[in-house]
Amino acid sequence: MGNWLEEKLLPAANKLAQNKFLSAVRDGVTIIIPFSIIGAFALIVGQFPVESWMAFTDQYADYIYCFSTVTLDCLGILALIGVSYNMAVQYGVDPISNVAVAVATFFMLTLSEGGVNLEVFSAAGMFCAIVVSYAVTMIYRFLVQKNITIRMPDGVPPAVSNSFTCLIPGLVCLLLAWLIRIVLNIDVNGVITALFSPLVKGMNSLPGYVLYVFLMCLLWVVGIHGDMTLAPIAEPITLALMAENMEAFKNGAAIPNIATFSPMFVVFTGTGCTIGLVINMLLSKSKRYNELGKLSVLPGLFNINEPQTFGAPVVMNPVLAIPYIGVSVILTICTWLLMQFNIIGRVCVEVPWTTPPIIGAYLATGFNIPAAIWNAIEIVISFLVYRPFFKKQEAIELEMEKAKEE
Amino acid sequence: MRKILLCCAAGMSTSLLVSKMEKAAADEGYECEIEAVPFKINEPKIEEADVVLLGPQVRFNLKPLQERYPDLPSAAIDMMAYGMCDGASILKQAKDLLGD
Repeated sequence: MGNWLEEKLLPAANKLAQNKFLSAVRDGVTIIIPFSIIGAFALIVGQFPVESWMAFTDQYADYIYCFSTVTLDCLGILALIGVSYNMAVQYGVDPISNVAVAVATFFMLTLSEGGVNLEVFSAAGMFCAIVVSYAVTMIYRFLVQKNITIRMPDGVPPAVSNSFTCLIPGLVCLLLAWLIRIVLNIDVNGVITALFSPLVKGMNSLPGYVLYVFLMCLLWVVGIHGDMTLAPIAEPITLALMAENMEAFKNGAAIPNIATFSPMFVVFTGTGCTIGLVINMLLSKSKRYNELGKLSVLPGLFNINEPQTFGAPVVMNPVLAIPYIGVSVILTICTWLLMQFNIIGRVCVEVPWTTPPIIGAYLATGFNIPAAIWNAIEIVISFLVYRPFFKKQEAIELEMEKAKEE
Repeated sequence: MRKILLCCAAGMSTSLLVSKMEKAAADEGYECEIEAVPFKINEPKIEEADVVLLGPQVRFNLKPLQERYPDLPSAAIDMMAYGMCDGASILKQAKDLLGD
């Protein structure tokens, strides 16, 4: 098992994490998150569950929700800017020119009869934005490598000649986009979205979501940042699902998607829901674990858990890796079912990932009290799942400490 | 004055180390500036740094980092030292890389 992890999983994870395309997608869509939180803040203000407050905010809906219109309804275009910028950084072309070319090309490829299509500005255009960013960057890089650029005679100030750098890549990309969208009349956004839909449907299902959580934990067990490694695949999907949920929440409609809960209900207090491990450490007779517990408890409340993950350690340690993966899978399945049968509310508000437990669950579900109670029960489950394994680990540790003293 | 840069995914977990390392440095009388940032290959602070240490969970970035900055001393932080927030031994790792 240990060998398989070291020899097969570790190199595969390294490849995945170092891949330029995936890194650019990950870093690029990350730019969305602060705006998603700003938009969510408007929802929290508008939907704060006090009747007199809601009657008041209803009158000023336009004043409040304009913040969500320019953020949540523009996630696709923000993704386009973020991803095309980071593609340029990864593949070594001029970032700002690449962004400009990508934006114009995206507009052309999604042009509708009425002109620039505003629908694809939203999360509906997310996958198209990623594909266009990649394609534009590849064309741009190809032209630069083949030296097909406009060159000014010597003596022309660099600022002037630089201002023409976009011209040829822009023209080539726009001509290609024109051919595809206008001449051949292909619904580019529709085709790309359809291509990605099996992935979205897979992720938005119980087995798919469990697999995602399982892989994330497994990567951490070999000491690799699992959330970050899987982000290029998971993040565009969950952000799109989340955008639909936030839209429904704003309109007071039923929340459509379930697969948005992992940050606040599974990996809260850090991946592996390590709060149970930390409580066990605080109660431990081992000096080292006691110290580590005290060190870990505060960062853990803000969902940062590297000290306990590397210090316990969970990494490369089967005794603690079992409850680490186990508790995550158990919590994923339970939370999914509770949400599917509407016993607790679904996650429909983007909150910062560092929001402490219970408060985070309450806000993220749009003020759902059963969800907050479930979040508290999850902490107890985490403690109980870690308990027997920690006891075993503690015995090893105590023996080592005793040996040291003697 | 040496500049030590720590990088992880969000710059949060390495920021836990900064004060511990600063304390260790003050105890030894070693003059240095320590900062934690999220890792990005085009992070401008990398160019200003004398040594870069990566959190072990993002150690897969070491190869791309060393390819881009072959002359910059860099390494992944030892896992156990990282877990225990052992400022003194991580500072030692940085000093060893610098040859101080």
